[in-house]
Amino acid sequence: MRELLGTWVAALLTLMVFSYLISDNPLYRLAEHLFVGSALGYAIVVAIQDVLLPRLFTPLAQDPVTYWHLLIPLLLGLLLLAKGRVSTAWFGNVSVAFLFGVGGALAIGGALVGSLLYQVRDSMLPLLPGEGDGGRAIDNLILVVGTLGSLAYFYFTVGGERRTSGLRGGALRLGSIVGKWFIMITLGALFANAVMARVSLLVGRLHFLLSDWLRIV
Amino acid sequence: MLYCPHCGTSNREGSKFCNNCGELLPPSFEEGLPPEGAPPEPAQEPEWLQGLEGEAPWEPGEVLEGAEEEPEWLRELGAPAAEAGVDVKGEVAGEEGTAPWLEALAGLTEEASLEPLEKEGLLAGVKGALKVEPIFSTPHRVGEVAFSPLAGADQAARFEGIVSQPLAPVAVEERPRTRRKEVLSWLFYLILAGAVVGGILLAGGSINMPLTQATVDFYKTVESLEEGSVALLSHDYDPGTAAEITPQVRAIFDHLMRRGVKIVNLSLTPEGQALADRALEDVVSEHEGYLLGRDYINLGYVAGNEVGARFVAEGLRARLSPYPLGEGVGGLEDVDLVVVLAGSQEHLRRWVEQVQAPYKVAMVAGVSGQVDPAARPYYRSGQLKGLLSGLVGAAEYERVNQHPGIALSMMLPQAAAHLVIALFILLGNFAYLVESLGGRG
Repeated sequence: MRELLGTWVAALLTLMVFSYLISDNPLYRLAEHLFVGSALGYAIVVAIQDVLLPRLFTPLAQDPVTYWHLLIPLLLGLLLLAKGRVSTAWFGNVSVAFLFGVGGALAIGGALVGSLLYQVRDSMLPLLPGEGDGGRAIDNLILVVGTLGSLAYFYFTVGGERRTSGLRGGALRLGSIVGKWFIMITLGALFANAVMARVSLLVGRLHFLLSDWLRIV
Repeated sequence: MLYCPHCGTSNREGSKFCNNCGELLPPSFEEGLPPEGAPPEPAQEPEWLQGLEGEAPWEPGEVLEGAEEEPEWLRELGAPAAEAGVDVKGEVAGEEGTAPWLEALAGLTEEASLEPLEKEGLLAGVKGALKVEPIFSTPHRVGEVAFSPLAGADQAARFEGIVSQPLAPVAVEERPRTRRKEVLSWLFYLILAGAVVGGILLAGGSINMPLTQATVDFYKTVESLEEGSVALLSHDYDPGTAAEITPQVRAIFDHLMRRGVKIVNLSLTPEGQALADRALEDVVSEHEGYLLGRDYINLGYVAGNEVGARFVAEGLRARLSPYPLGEGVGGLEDVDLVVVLAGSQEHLRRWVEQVQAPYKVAMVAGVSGQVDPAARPYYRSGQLKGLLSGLVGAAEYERVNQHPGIALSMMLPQAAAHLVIALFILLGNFAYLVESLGGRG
């Protein structure tokens, strides 16, 4: 019974969202507000059940001597609540600074070690074909040219007349033209993937309506 | 409305202080009025009038004291006035005490039509244009005056004539065009929906679709896991991308369970854990003997994004220790494979940057189609051992795993929808080309 009710609610909400194709209407807005409200409510419940209770309040209540250090995140969290009023907002600055400091340090360090170094290393590729590896060489050539061209396109410090003068300016100009085309192809691929993802969502919803709700399939 | 005498800002009626500069405002006009029925106050002469008492009134022809002297501003204007052929000295006091430039303007105003221009409002009943406006009475460039009060009167009369004309009928050609656009939009929606529904109704699980190397590598990585190995799955997606990733998750679960791999689930998004539970329920029912806590577990939501991913890597042993599955798992080094299921590139990047790179753990990823371009460089660099991309990736995995599921059945409607979109793009470009050529011709 519960599953049947859930299927009907999901189907009706799906149709209400599809009604936006006609025009903006109260049914669509109701579905939209329900989605936002339920998502927020769900996130709050999950944060309480999966984070605050098991990782903070329960250990503190059961053994405060052992878990006294949990008072620090509790205090920092309470200070964040002071951000709600302008007059007391400065109380929360310490918590925000802590969050931004730790998050920023991890993100920058991770980006350097996990992304930048690997990608730089991976862009240093042999351009001469080995034995029976001509396809790979072409692939490498495209990757190297695309990387250098994209970098040249975003090289803004040389511009205006200087950009077209001399060997350096000419190379940059040619590189930026090549880079522009690579960027356009990349954006086209991104857009095509986004369309494909949305079509998958449409297929998923219509499949749900036909199979789970109407039971035609 | 009250205007501040200090800065000129308009303030609401009844305000005591200026909203802009904070100066004390004078009482409003109504507040300044005496109450009804009060006796009228005796009129008082202003100070400047009291100072003039005793002086004889000015008579026409009388030359005022100091009028013979040429003022400084008039001396400065000597050059332009001389260029214009005007005798500056003669302007100071003519025979009748009137400057020639003023007489010239007076002549102009006499020729002006004295038709009543103001019929209502504060100036109702005032006839003709004012003779000389203060701004025009300043003879800063005599002879070069390009504008006169009469020009303003002409413009006002012209403006009145324009606005008094009856309105032309509004062209209503937009409506049929909008209607045509709506019809075309609805036609496109119907054709697209028809293609998808037809594809779903006709779909089977035996589509012979090609396999990409990234999917094959994903499969081989899972296939290489021995029985009893531990795989960590992070479900970092939400209902918005679940239609693409849930089929991937089911196929991966099925493969892992057939290999006898222990599965640890968690999520960096609040919704991911619930979606993982639903997929687990569906797949576990097909694999009897897989027990919760011993063979698979869902650790739930982990908050903190980058910090959360690093926290999982550092504190996995403590989180698994209460369960039988955690026996023999000392930390991330005992995890044989990390599977990231990411609905956004940020989540994938967090796992690669915070876990794969520092701990050198084997990692594969299943991502939404729109994350694929961002995930592809990590696969190419070897940081990801395999990659599933969107619903197509799930279908490929079902095929290579030889276990057809919902993803393969969705490939026909997906392909039909892509075909319709491609045809409409071509049709639209063709129509645009024809329209452009027609416009040139």
